Amino acid sequence: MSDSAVEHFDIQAMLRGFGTTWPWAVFLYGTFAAGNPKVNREFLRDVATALGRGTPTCVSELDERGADPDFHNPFNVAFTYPGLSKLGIAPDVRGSFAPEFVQGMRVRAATNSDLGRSAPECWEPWWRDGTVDFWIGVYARSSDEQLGQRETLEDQLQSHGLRAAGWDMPTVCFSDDTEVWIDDPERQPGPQKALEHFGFEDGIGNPPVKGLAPAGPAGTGAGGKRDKAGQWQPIAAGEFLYGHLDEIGEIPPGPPPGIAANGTYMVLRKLSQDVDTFRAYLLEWAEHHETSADALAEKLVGRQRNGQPLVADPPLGDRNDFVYAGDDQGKICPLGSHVRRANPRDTLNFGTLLVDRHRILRRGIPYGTLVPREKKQADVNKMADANDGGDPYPGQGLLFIALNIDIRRQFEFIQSQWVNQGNDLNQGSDRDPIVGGHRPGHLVHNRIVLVTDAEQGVAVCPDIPAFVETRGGDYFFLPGVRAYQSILEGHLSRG
Amino acid sequence: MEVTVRRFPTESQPLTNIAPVKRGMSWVSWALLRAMRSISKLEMARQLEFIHFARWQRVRWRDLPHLGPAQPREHFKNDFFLFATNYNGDWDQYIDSFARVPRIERGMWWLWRFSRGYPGPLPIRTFKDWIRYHTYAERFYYSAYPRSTVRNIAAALAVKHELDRFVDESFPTETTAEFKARYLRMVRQLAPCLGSAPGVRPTTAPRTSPEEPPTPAGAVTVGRTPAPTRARLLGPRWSTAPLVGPVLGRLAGQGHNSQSYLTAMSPIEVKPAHAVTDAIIDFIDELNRGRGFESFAKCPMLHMARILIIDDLRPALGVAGAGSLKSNYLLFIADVDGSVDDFLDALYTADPELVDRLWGSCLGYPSDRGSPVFLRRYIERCRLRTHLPFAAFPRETAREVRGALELHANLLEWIAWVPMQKKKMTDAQLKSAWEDWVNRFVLGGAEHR
Amino acid sequence: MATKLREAEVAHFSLEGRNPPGPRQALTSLVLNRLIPGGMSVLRRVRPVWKVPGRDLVVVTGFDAVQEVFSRQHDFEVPYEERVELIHFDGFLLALQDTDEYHKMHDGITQLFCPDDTGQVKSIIRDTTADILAGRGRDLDLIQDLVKPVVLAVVEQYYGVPVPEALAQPFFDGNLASSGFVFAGPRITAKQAAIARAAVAEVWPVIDAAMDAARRSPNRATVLGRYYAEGHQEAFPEPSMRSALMTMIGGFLPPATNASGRIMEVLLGRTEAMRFAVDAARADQDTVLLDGLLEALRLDYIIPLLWRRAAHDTCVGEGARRLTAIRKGTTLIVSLQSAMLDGRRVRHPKRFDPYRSPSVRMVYGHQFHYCIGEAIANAVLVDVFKPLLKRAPRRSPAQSRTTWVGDYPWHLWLRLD
Repeated sequence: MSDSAVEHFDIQAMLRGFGTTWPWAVFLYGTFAAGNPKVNREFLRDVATALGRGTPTCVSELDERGADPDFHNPFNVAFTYPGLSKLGIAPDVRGSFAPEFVQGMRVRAATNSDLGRSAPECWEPWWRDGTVDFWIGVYARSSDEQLGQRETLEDQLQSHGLRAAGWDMPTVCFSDDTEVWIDDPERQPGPQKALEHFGFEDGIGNPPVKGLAPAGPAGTGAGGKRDKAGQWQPIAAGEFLYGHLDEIGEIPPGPPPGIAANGTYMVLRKLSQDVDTFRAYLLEWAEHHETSADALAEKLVGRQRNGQPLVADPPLGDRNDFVYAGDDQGKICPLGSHVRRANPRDTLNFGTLLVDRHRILRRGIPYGTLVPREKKQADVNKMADANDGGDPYPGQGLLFIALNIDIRRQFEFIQSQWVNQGNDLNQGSDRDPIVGGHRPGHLVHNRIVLVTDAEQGVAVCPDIPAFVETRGGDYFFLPGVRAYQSILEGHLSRG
Repeated sequence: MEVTVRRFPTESQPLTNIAPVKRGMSWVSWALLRAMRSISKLEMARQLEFIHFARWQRVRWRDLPHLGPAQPREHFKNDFFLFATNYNGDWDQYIDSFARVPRIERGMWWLWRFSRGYPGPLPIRTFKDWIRYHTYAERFYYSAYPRSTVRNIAAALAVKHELDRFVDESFPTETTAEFKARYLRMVRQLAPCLGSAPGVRPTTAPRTSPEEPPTPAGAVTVGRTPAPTRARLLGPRWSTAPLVGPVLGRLAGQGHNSQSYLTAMSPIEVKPAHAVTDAIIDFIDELNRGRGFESFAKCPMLHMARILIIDDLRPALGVAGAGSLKSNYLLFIADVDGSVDDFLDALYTADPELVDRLWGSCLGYPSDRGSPVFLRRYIERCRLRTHLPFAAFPRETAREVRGALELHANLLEWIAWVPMQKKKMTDAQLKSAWEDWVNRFVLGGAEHR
Repeated sequence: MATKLREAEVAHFSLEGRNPPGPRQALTSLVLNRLIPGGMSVLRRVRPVWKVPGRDLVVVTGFDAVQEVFSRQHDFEVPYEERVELIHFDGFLLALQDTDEYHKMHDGITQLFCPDDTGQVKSIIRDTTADILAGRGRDLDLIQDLVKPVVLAVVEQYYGVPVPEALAQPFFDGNLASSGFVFAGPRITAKQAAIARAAVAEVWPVIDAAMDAARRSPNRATVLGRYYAEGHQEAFPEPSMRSALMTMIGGFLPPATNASGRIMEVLLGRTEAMRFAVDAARADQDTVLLDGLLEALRLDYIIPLLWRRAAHDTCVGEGARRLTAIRKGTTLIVSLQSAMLDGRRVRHPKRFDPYRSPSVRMVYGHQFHYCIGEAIANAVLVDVFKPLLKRAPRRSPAQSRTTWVGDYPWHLWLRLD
């Protein structure tokens, strides 16, 4: 398949990712009108017009015009299964979507280990009650733009008689002057780095997709799959887009091309991060193991704060261009660390063959204010609260977004087999120390056993509390642009 | 695509697949199986590290047991290929790996190529459809180590062997410094294995403070004699602690294990009658509610077992009139240490009512029930030969595996405890604490009188 | 003259006296220990269920068939009634069919000789053994110096049947002989009957005397004492208790003696077995030691043949490929000893393998008439052999051959460390 077979103009820009050029966003989680698909479709059409765009922004538009100062309000739209019904999509078409999508993330909480305090009962109301039919994500270059976009969307909702179920106003966090190191100042990531709230540069570990390489110098394919010759290759487009060949050489089955072509599933999860507990735990256990809290944090995460992989020495130019060969015991990058679990690369037998079909594209964006090292979350959030006029759910965390063609085989597989289970990585039933779910009444508390070069050769970090909790989310379908148009024109509906 | 395969609440999952084979070519399948058994020993399967036990059997239609005149003879136009496995993880990943890894893909192709309608391992979707079509649902599944995976067991066995070696090499006149060096070497050696928590709880008593060293709660499963007086006989070591029940408590069999594969296909009743089958199904529900696990756990030689009710064998896709079963069958598959006869005796002794309610009303079951001999004779007549078996750990008995898993959990708890004391513990104290731990958890101490 | 008469009158029963060492005993040993097992081993390979032509006799030597016969107690009855009647031993448990009487007796015994008492039994055995070993120096006759006093101590201190020292040997011999008589086979000769009567005459008076004494002042530390003190007479009348005591004594002394000697013979004859046993003993691994001892017993079982009688027309081989029809009244010779060496069921049957599945060691029987005193017997084995083995016994250089009396090992001299 050649690159030209992947039509950049038909794929929503999420597949490329908005990145740090668009550090603010407005996420509208809306509820459609029941029994009135026409109103819903009109609303979507009018939103596009109000934002100054004709259709959801596609990859080619973002690539070509992203740097243009006159280009504003790129946005993308995705629907949940109830959303598709309310748009009047015919039942047989709806029924041909993947069962996981049809069920929704709330029903599948057990699969994702959304239990205890991460259980749907504890989610933000719109997620908990399942009232979200659609997601509109508008991206901005400044916080003023962001606020303006929100107003626009609110107006449109009102004028069409629709409601917002909920909102998120995420923003990329830049390191700048905020000190996020715990006890080792050398570990501060450089300035202008996009951080997540535990103080690590994020967004590095994404696979290159065949046919979707960014414009510019050809990528090495690093971070994709390894072929028989040991070279990097990009992952097949069919792992992320309907209508293309996937890694096993088939076009995955799905809904009719009229609605599915160039579409994908979007897993959205709002994950809150408990920065205080994270830091406190690290300080306590670093002392026990006679290391620094920052060094221990890097072990648990599996990358340095500046994004360099732990196995890289000297530092890499392309921080995705590494394999774990030579570290099969996990002495350098622990087998149980977050990054290694999320993408084991060549840790399993047979090169990356057993990993290639379980990759996701991560397009998340953090929310909330960075917590400087000398402050606590409550202080930071109180201040932010006072400024913003009251977000009922203050805090910091990540709006995690994953794009994949088969939620069960990709996102849920990673979540249930590699994050919330450790067997493939010789971690038994230990979960991911950073994002692992902590089931009440589970066999043992979570822990990680680190293989070290220290005297005893092993350091155990027991009783790891939950640093991350699920606040909500759902499974969305992110249609191709033409499919989106068809939906708006009512082609796939009965009404 | 949602896969409707039942998942049992165990780390290992069963898969039972019975595919039709062209009658004329089934001897080739048989020959291939025998060849693979001698030549390859299925190293590939071992490398996948998520298959506990697997077996391939060629079953001729004539091999289906005929236990008496009351049972009509089966007749098929094809033979069968039975594949039964116990694997860890996700069904899709399991099947995917068959197709993704080139050498395994070739092996799969050869094994199944004479099956009617076999589409080949690629495209994967049709392969999965074909497997699903010929898969039969298990109604009951038992594992002797339900919370543990192949990797857990591998790590636990590594720990056990290393610990045994360490204890063997201990000698009374060792200095503290020598001990410390040896101890640290051992821990470093074992460090990569310790992460694989075995899924069993450490068998320690609750402690009032983290300062207290771990002590065992109750009987220790693994024990051995102190090195100097150890007998080197038929097996270098033996387990000591009694298992459940006075009669059954003593099987050890370490070091000379050979595993047996039982496949018993018992005709229940002639179709369309269904009463006996329904009664058996009800009883299997009772087994699932806990009785099965209790009773099978009293058979220390049993690794894994499953029960299926087969009311028909599906013909190849698209082929009509190949034949159909005239009776309902109860398919019992078990992986055991030692001989099948020993297992059947143990099962009968553990729960004679289970034996009666599973097989007692089946066609051809002897009317006398008072001794395991009748069960043994009956099962012998229902047995189907296994041609190609695979075991991830062919030499270790179920009991050794369980003991190793416990030992692994206990060792990890010890290791997690030591750094807590490190600052306050001298080397001599470490040595003495370690010896104490070994006495309690490894040697098991003297038995109760 | 009168004294001499009195002495002659009170000449006690002596098994050794009646079976002195010599050619007759040598022949008996040859037949019992070599020819019969040898014949059985041939039969079990060729015809595990063999209908002897021209006679109402079937010889069962195969493992499966032996289990089948023993488990079908309604079809294959125990044929001992005539013999037990002769020695006034009605109510002998092993001679009763599967009837209410059997179950009453069985329940009575298990209630009185209850499993909770095992600790007491073990400590009696341990103490007695320790005393004997301490007092004996390096040379010891396993049977006469150790096993005999130990079992008599159990009978006295646990059962509550004291045996006056002067009567100890006759009591012991009488037990062995009368038990042997019960199991001796379908045909009874007058001579056998006379011997049996003389033997049992050494036993009943001791039991009766014990019951008299206990009735007057029961010792609660003993079974008999508790029987009277706790008022069990109503539920379990005295005649039943009398039979129960006889059962528990007659079923205890002979096999304990026989088994101990044969087990030691096996250990002495196989280096690996002895090393295993010694190591297990030294490591205080009771369960494993017991496995080893019972494995040794499997290799050299106490009785070559047992008997049953077909209660009606039936067959042997249910569920197997071959069915053998049996007429009512047929006598069956059933060889447990042969069954436990059957290669069809027992892997490497001649090999000493203490790790075998316990289900092939039918040393305490199979199903219906399973040994009711198993716990006591196991206690004797473990607590006599363990301290003995800790001293690495070997054959005494002075007397390196075992002396046999009838079916029993009688003198087995050991040298200890």
